[in-house]
Amino acid sequence: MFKKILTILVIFFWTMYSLMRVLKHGVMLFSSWEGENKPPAFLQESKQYKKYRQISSGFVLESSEDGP
Amino acid sequence: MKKLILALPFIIQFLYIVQGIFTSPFATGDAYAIWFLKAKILYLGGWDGFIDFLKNPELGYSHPAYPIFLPLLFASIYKIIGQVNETVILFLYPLVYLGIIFFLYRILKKAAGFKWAYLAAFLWGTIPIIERHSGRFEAGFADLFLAGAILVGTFYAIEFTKTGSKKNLIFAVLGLGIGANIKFEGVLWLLSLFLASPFYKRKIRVKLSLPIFLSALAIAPWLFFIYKHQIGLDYFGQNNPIKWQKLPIILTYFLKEIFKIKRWGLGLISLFTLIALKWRRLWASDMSLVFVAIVVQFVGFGLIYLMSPVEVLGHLDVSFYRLIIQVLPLLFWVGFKDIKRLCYL
Repeated sequence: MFKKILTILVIFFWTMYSLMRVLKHGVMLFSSWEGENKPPAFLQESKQYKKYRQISSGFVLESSEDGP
Repeated sequence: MKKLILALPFIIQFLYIVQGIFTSPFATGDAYAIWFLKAKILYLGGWDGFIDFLKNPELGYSHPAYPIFLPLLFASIYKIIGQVNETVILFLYPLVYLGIIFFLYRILKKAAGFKWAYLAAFLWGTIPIIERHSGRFEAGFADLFLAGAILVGTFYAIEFTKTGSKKNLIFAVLGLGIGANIKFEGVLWLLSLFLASPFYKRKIRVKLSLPIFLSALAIAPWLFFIYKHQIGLDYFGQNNPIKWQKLPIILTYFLKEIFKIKRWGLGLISLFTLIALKWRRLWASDMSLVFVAIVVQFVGFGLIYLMSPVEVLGHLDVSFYRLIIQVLPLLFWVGFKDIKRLCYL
């Protein structure tokens, strides 16, 4: 009996929590279509991102300006 | 009408995630450092350019030894559309998200009935970190693909042990083999399944070894390639003694992770509670095999960190939660399979 009640309680609260999130996301679908999928500033400053953008044709074994 | 109402939460979640592809900052460092980078090199430089790239010490951050299923897949898409386009690749992530939801629903519907299968699929799909990895902020990782592959592979491998059907064997090898070629955690999963099999019936153990062996063969060409080109596994040095002093850090980190509400919502706490509640029943079913394999997977991952020369805390922070993402659909399968009997609903 204890297990049954505890299982139902756990699932009830988990489901309610998830439903609230879905409701919030439903509202967001109507309200926020602003923004871009560009990387944030900290990532744009990273060596990896700069290198990724630098590669535009083929691959050449040369050192980049930003270096290792 | 009833079907539409039932589908509505999934539709909202899917649209919310797709919206994220256009509106959320694309903040996945690994995409630019590993997966998208390798795909770009493969597409632009071909195989020769790719080999040069792997040998370039300046680009060691791209983990050259990592398996290359995803870069090959992405590069093939670039080839079809004729250009490098990251947004097109990002659209694969919500599709994988939907695929896992459908598959989880399908396997649980048979075992636990519609109500519980629907609920489990819904609860998995609303976990905050899963939404993020599927398209909002953190798409670009390989973990969602790996989660899907090992879920499919493990399900069909267990089905194969029961039926001996060739179709099940093919799907098992496809799932597990692709998983092993996505990340090395997929190879670790093969080992975990193998090591967990003695905990189950002998007949099943023997049958399970066939899909595991065939899937392991699928990663052999890549392992041979990195051996031939002397591409090192970057988590290991020459001499790797186990550093037991790291163990408390790893265990504490694991316990803390369960309670990270921002990342998991109520998901991990609730799921572990459900598994604890059905503990006895778990050992009487074929889920014991999957559960032991998941435990072995974590132990194996922990051992790698105990042996690795890398600084453990910084790496755990960026990689440990992703191991949970990889096995999470399997944990849902374990947690929800016999739940009907537990609460008599």
